[in-house]
Amino acid sequence: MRLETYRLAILIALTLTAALLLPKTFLRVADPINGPMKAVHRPPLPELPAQVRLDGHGVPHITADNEADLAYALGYIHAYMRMFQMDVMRRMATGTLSELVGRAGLDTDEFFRRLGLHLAAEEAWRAIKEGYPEVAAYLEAYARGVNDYISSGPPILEYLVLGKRPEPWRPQDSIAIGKLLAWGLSGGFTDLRLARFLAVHGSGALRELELLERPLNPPILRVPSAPLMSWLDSVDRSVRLTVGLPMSNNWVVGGNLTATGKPILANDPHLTLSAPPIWFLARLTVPGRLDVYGATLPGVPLVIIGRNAHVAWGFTNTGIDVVDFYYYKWDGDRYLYRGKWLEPSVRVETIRVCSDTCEEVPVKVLETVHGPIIERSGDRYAVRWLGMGPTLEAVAFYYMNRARSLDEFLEAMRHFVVPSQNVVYADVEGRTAYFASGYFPLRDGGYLPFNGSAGEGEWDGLVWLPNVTRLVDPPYVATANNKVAELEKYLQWRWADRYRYLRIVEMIEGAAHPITVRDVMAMQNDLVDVSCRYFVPMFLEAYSRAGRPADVEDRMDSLGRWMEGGCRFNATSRVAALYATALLNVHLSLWGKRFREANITDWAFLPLEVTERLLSRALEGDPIAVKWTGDPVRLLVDAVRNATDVRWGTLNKYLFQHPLGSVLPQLNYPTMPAPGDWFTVNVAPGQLTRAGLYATVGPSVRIIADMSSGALYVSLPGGQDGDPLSDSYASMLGQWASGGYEVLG
Amino acid sequence: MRSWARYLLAVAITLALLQVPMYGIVVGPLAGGLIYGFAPMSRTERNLGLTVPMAAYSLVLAYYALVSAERLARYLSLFPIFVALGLAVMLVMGLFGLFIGANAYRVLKTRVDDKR
Repeated sequence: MRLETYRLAILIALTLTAALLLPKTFLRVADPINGPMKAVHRPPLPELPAQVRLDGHGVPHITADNEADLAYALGYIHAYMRMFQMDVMRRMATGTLSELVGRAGLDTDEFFRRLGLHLAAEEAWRAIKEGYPEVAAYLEAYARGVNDYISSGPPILEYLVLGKRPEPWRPQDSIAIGKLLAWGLSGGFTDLRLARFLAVHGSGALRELELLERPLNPPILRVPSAPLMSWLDSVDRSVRLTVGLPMSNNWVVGGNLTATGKPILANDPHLTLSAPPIWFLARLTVPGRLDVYGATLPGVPLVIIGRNAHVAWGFTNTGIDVVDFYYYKWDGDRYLYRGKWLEPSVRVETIRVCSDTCEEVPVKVLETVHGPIIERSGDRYAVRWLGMGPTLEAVAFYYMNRARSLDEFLEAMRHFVVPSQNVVYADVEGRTAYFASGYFPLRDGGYLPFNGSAGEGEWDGLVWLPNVTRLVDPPYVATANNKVAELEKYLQWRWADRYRYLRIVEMIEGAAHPITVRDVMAMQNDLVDVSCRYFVPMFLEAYSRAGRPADVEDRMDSLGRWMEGGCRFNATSRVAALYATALLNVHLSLWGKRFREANITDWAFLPLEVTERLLSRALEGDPIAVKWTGDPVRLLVDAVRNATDVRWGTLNKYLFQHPLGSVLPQLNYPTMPAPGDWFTVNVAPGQLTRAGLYATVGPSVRIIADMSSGALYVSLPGGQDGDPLSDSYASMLGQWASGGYEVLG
Repeated sequence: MRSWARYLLAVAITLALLQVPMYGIVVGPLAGGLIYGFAPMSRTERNLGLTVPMAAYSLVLAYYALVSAERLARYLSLFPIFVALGLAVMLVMGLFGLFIGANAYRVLKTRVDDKR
């Protein structure tokens, strides 16, 4: 063979080797025809069986002749703008994320398959089809809209990167997304963390730290608690459900306090700040029947927070405990229950894990009389969550969207089971109301795991919370995840620090003139951290008791002046950073080691209010408090000494992550300085990382309903369109960051 | 065949084979390079062969620019690495194609000459 032939053979071999060695991911993302670049060619929205007007930010105003066409059009538009996001949400809920993202989703899938949200969603769907055909038809029309979009073969960037396609949508998927959100708001494993904390540091901590009482925390319902104590009388025993605690603010101001004489309602739920945002704004109209607008969840065809022509509503999380854990005595795979050894039922889930090819991973799920078994830190617990049954929140929202009065609204809320929410309500007639929504399972305790073998913690009926936690036509009412009510009966043990609540009340009560929408906007963007009024005096007292050490003199003076100036957390403030890092030093000095010993990674597991109360008692010489704090003077002075006084905005930043943002950071929104801190109304709760504080949670939407007009003022942290190549991808982000609003309606 | 016609044919073949799912950016420029290289050529002509994959890629970009220049600009700013990767793979494969084409031509020509 000649030299040329050899050379040719070598060249061909080299070429084949090079081609085969190239990873498929490389080939996929580099491909200009079938790869992500294909997303440049995005077909416009087609003609839909409804009139669709998109405003400058891509907010759809949909008008249809009937509800089926309305739902269909919303389904199509949700999918057009947020298909990947809604797919990720439903896959998380149904434990099928691994089909989309491979092994990275396996742990999440295994957890949610064990929990069984997908089964609960199926049951709920069956119940809706049987009992509420109009809601079922609405959800089915929505799914048709999504599926018609999917079957048009759209070039969606994220799928093109992953080399996947969206699977068809089912009404059960919309329900499952609701279940996922409800689980996230129901408290998760905080009871188990408390159990570990008490196991390591002694059960006396519960009393010594006043964890169940939290006397500093003012209840939302400030009426005497005696009437509420009769709540057990109102228990409807016939009620059967046959069919990183997030925070938020909401308040409603009655017409007697507003400039227009009509109520103003405000809400800003503090959920994950993501790219695109968790909410999708829309206005849905069927002339003569329906005109509702506000924030929808992609994947769910209902307005979750917003208003219609008659009523407006907003939510914050109550933290009312509706999740229980049970431990048992085991003998192999049998467990002891009330003196009998029982075989748990077995459910086998098969998870498909797909990258270039798919493999099947079986998961064996054991279920006791209380619920599915999960393992935590080597221990087995059965989980019982109120949302595991066929709950009908979709039905509740369907009728809430159509309510014309408080009675109709409350009637709709009867279907709302989880998560328990502080609901504020206003209507155009001038009525206002507050109630904690959902149901509460009656049992003794609930803040620690129950001994399931001994038959502890059995649920003995359900209370419909609005029956016992209701305020109608108050002058105003505000909630910020603080205590719902002072009750001797256990309702919850996790609620937020009182600081945001105090500030909201202070701004409403201290208003120098009748309140306007502009005032409410200023309130939602307020940057005052009231906690400084309690901590700075303690820092100053400790400084004084320590003999006024010279090295912290300037810092203590700055803190004193800053407190007198109002404790404002501007991004440019250095004293704000000094205060915030001193607070962190105090909190971590007290709890950091103790949390680690109890294997608790959530550094905010104990609220700052507990720290505040403990230090205050320690400074007064309470020996029990000193047992926990050590020398409080030294602790407080050292905290300021070791704090930092950089500009607050260089330390605390917003982080908006895309689901694929860890591998494709260019899909994230830009990080930006975050004014505010954990306790300001305009919250920016930075999570401690080695690179600084990152607020991944914040006002996920700001909404203000002016009941004197049809206006709904909205502010969204990002953009309507989830397509990263769209000019609406982040078009509202700047406005949100600067405290601006759009008007909807 | 004239060199410009060969060039156009090579670009057209590259573009056509780019449609092949997954391996389009391997087989497209490879075939294009092979077709262009399969002929006697001067050094200048051979150097021009390197631009075949780039010409094909540019035509794809021109198409997208025509569809939506704004979205293309955003894509290029978000994912320059994907574009660079695509160009690099196509360039390497085009180069391989070019060499294989030139060598194959020589081998065949030698065999024909030998038979004669």
